[in-house]
Amino acid sequence: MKIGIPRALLYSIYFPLWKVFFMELGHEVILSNHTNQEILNNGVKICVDDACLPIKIFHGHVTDLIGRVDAILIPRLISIRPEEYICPKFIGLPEMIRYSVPGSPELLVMDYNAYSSEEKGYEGMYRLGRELGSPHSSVKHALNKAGLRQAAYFREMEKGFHPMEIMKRMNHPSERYNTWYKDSFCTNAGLPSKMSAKNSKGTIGLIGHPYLLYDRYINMNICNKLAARGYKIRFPENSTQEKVDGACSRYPKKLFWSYGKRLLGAGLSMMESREISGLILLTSFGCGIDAFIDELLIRANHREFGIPLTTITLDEHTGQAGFDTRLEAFIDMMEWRSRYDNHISPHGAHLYSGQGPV
Amino acid sequence: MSKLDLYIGLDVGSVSINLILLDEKYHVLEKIYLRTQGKPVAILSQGLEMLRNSIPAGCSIAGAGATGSGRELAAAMVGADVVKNEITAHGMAVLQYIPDAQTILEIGGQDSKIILLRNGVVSDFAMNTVCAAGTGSFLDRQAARLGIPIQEFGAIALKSCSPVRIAGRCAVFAESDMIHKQQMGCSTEDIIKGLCQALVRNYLSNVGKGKEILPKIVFQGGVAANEGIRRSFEDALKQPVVVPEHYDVMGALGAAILAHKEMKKGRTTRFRGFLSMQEDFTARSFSCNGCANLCEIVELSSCGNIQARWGDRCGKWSTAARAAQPAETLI
Repeated sequence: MKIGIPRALLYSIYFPLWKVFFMELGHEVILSNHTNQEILNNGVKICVDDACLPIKIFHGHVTDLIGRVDAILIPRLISIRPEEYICPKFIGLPEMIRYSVPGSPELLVMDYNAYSSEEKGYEGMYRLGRELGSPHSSVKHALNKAGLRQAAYFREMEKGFHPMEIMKRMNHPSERYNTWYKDSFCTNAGLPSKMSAKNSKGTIGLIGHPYLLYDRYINMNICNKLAARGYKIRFPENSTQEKVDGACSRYPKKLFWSYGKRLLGAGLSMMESREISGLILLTSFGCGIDAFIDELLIRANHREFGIPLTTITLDEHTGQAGFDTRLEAFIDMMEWRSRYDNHISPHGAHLYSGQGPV
Repeated sequence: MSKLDLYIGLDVGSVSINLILLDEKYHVLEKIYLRTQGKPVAILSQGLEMLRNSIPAGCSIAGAGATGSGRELAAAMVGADVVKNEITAHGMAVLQYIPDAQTILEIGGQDSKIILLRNGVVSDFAMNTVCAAGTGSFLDRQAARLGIPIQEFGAIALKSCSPVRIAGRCAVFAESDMIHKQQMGCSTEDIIKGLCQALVRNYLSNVGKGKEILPKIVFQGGVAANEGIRRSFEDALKQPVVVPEHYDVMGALGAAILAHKEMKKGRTTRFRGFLSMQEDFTARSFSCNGCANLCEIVELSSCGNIQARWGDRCGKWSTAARAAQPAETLI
C-alpha cells in the first residue's frame, strides 16, 4: 500500500519511526512536498479559522497527498512521555482532518500514547499494523526495528545536528534504508550550507516547536539567514532529556506539556551554560504553550542571564521584510552589545548585574 | 571655502519617505518628509530632486545610507553604501543627538517599536508582532473617517475633558467601538482622546510589555507629531516624554550617520549621485512560476536595464540581477 505522510507538525521528529515501521511491513511511504505557497493556501482555505498556523499547514500537506497515495497517515500523538501530554490539537487532529479535508483517501489514524509507559505508547502502532493485515510477529519485528532507528535518530540530534541534516545523511547509499528519503530530499532541504565551527561568530539558540524550526518555508529560512551572518545554531532537540529535566527542576510545579518543557529546559540550559550569544524565540501566532514558555524564558533571562533575546511571531505572512528587519536588528544589537562588553571586561561575568533587563 | 563632505540618509517607509542631508558634524542641512502615497519610486525621485537643490556649492556627497521597509528599493535606486534596519538606525540617531536617552518609543506607519538604550548601545528592543493596530496608518484611516486632517488630530484630543474608553487591542475592534461611541453621541474630541489613550495602552501592554522604561524617554516616528498621543504617554508613564526636533526623520538621520561611520573606514561611495533620478526608474512585480511558492518578485529597472530584483525565497532572481549589474559606477 502507498502510505502518504504529511510533512508537517512532528514529522521532523518521528519520521524515522514511522517510515521504518511501514517499510518493514512492506508498504511504500510517500511524503508530501516541502511546505510551499500552495500548501499554505490550501491549508488556510480548508482549515477552521482559529487554528494555529502549523495546524493549517498540516491540512495543506494532507491535500498535497490526495491522488498520489492509497492512504494518509494521521498520527494522533496524545502523550510522548510518561505522565506528560502534548498540545491538545494533536489529539483532535484526525477528526479535524476527517471533517475538513474533502476528498481525502482512507485515513490511517495511529495513536501514540505513552502516558502510562513508553512501551504502552507503541500499542497504537501495533494495532494499526495488525489492522493493515500483518501478522503479530511481523508487526512486533517492525516495531522493534523502527524503535531502534528512532533511538539512533534521537542520539544524533543530541550530538548537535539539525534534524534535516541527519535525515539527509541517512539517505547515503551505504545506508540500509537508503530509499528513505527518496523524493523527499531534493536540494531544497533548507540547511545552512556552512555551519563549520571555525569561522563562526558565535552560537545563537533557536527556541521553537519542531514544526517551525525545521520548516524553512514557515520560518522564512531563518537557519540560512543566521548562517549567512556567520552564526551556528543550537536547537532544542540538541539538548538531552536529562538536561531538559534538570533545567526545569527549578520550577516548583511539574511542566506537563512535553514540548513546552523541552523548549523551556533547552532554553534555560543554553543560557546557563553561556554557550550562546543570543536567544531567538520563534513562535506561531496564537500558540498557547508558547504564551507561557516564552514568558518564563524571558523572565528567567531578565532576572539572571541578561542575554540578548527576542521573540519573533510567525503567521501567514509571505512578505519577508518584517521578519528580516527583526532578525537583522537582533543580530546588530547582539554584536553591538558584545563590542561594548568586550570593551569593558573580556569575561563579562558581572556586566549588567543589578541593572535589570538589558 | 573648503569642500564639504555631505551624507545622505533615506528612510523609505510605508507611510512616508524621508530624506536627510547631513554634514560631517551631524548638522542637519536639509530634511524632507514626503508621503509615500503607495508610489515609493516616484516620490523618492521627487525627494532626491528637492534634496539636490539644497546642496551648498562646493559640497559633494560622500556617502548614503538607506533604512525603512523600502530600504532595498532605495538602496538599489541611489546606490546606498549602508542598508540598515530601522531599529539600528533609530538607535544610532538618538544616541547621537540625545546621548542620555534610555528608552525610545517609536511609532511609524506600520511598525511600532520600543528600543532600550543602556550604556550607549541598543540593549533590547521589541516590535509589534503580527498586527499593525495602533500605528500611523491606522490613525490616518481614523482621521480620514472622522473627516479631520491628521495634522489637527492631536490638538483636538487635547481639548477633551472626559475621554471615552475605546478598545485598543485591535484596529477593527477600535473602529467599531469608536463608531458605537459616536452613535451614542460622545463628542469627537473625547473619542479622539480615548483613541489616543487606547493606542498608548495597547502599545505599553504589547510592544512595551516587560520592558523597563527608564528616563529619558524619547518619542519619535511620524506619530510623535500627535500631541494627544505624547500627552497620553506622559499620563500613562507618569514621566516626561521628549519629542526630538527631528522626530519624523530619525530613521533617515540614523542611516546618514551610519553611512558616515562606514565611509570613515576609507571606502568610496557607491552613491550614483542624482543621476539616478534622471534615469527613468520603473518597478514592476511578477510572480515566479519556478516552484509552488509563487514568490512575488519585484524588479527595478532604469532605461531598460535591470538594476535589482528581490522578493524570491531561493535567490534565483536576486542573484541573477546582481550579476547582470555593470561594475559599480562611481562618481
